[in-house]
Amino acid sequence: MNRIEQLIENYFSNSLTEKEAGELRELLGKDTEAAAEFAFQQRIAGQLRTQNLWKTEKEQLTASYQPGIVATTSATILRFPMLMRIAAALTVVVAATWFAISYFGKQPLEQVVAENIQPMKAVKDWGTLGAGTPLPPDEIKKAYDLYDAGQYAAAADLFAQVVPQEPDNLGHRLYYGICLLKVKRYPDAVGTLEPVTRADGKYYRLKTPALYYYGLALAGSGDKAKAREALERYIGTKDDDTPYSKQAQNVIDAL
Amino acid sequence: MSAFRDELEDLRNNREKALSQLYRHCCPSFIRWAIGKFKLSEHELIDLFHDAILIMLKNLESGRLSQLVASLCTYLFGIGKNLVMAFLRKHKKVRYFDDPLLLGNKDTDPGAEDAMIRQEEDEEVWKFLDELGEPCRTLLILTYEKGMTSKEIAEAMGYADADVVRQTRKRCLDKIRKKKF
Repeated sequence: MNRIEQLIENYFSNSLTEKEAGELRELLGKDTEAAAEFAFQQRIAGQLRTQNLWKTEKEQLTASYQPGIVATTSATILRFPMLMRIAAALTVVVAATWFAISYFGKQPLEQVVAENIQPMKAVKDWGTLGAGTPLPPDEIKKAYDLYDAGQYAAAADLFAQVVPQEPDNLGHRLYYGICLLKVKRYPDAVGTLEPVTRADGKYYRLKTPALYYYGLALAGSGDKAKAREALERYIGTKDDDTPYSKQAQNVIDAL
Repeated sequence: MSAFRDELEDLRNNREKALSQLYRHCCPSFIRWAIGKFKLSEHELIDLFHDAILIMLKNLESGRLSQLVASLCTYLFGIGKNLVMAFLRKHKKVRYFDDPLLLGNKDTDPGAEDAMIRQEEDEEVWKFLDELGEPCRTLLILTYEKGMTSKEIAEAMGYADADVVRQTRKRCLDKIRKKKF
């Protein structure tokens, strides 16, 4: 293909650059044969643009199949004005984001509970009661030592023996309950901690922290209503320290 | 591959049903794809889809469409894409179809007799074009009416390359030239 043929082809496909258009004009001015060929093709093009050789065939297609296109839902959607399409698309994006955050962005409740268990420091009062006070049995001392060392599963095994031996000792019961929480035995923790939430007398100071742990145990067990009630009571307590209010609130938020 | 062969067989043996399927499923997909990408109206795209269907049918009749490597819808998308590109070029702001220097001396007013002769000649050209068989008809329509490049036509009509299209077009133009000029 020579240069003039290339330029003529570009002319009919409307892909001439400004420079090429100038070049074509110049070449046609010089080359009469090329000018005649160009004029001939222009007449063909003119005829084809004004008449429509495919008119009959296209009319048949339109008559037979156009209603089918219009009937399709997707084509109907395309008839919406652009603004409505943008609004619809935005709505879908917002709804999808909300759905994703609600269902995938939220941690499972059990995980929230586990992350918000703060074991309180154990109060071992047997060393402060003065001479003559009998030391506790070895398994009790060992249970507390394991608790302090963060070995909650092993501590829970020992507390499981200690608590029945001293059923009125709500201290043992509280730490046993915390161990059960840490090993995710939430229903057992509920039963163990519940009496501590009603503590009075010499154990009254355990009542408030017990509410926090009891609330966590209830949440871990899936009893959301009771968990919320216990944790709100804990946060709302005025007469005692509530160092774990933030953790309690985290769990309430996840309920 | 077997599914594609079945599609082609359906088009050969049960054209109406096959076309209905293509219009129902493929045309909306084509419109959806092109409307966002090229900012053309639905009306323009349906018209281009009709053109793609016609080219496909011509290719089937001529034997250039004898096997498929993908679905018929994909095949139509290939043709449709080239038609869209040609349409966009044809309607772009900068165009030389109307360039008076390239259109010859149309700005001078021909006499009534010359105009009459010209009109009669044009009618004859039209008659030859209308009577022209395939593949010339389709090839000239795609070149001069649709404004497709030789490469685009080769892809749409199943020719080996752009040079084959150019040679075929030259023979088609010679046919008209021999009859009239």
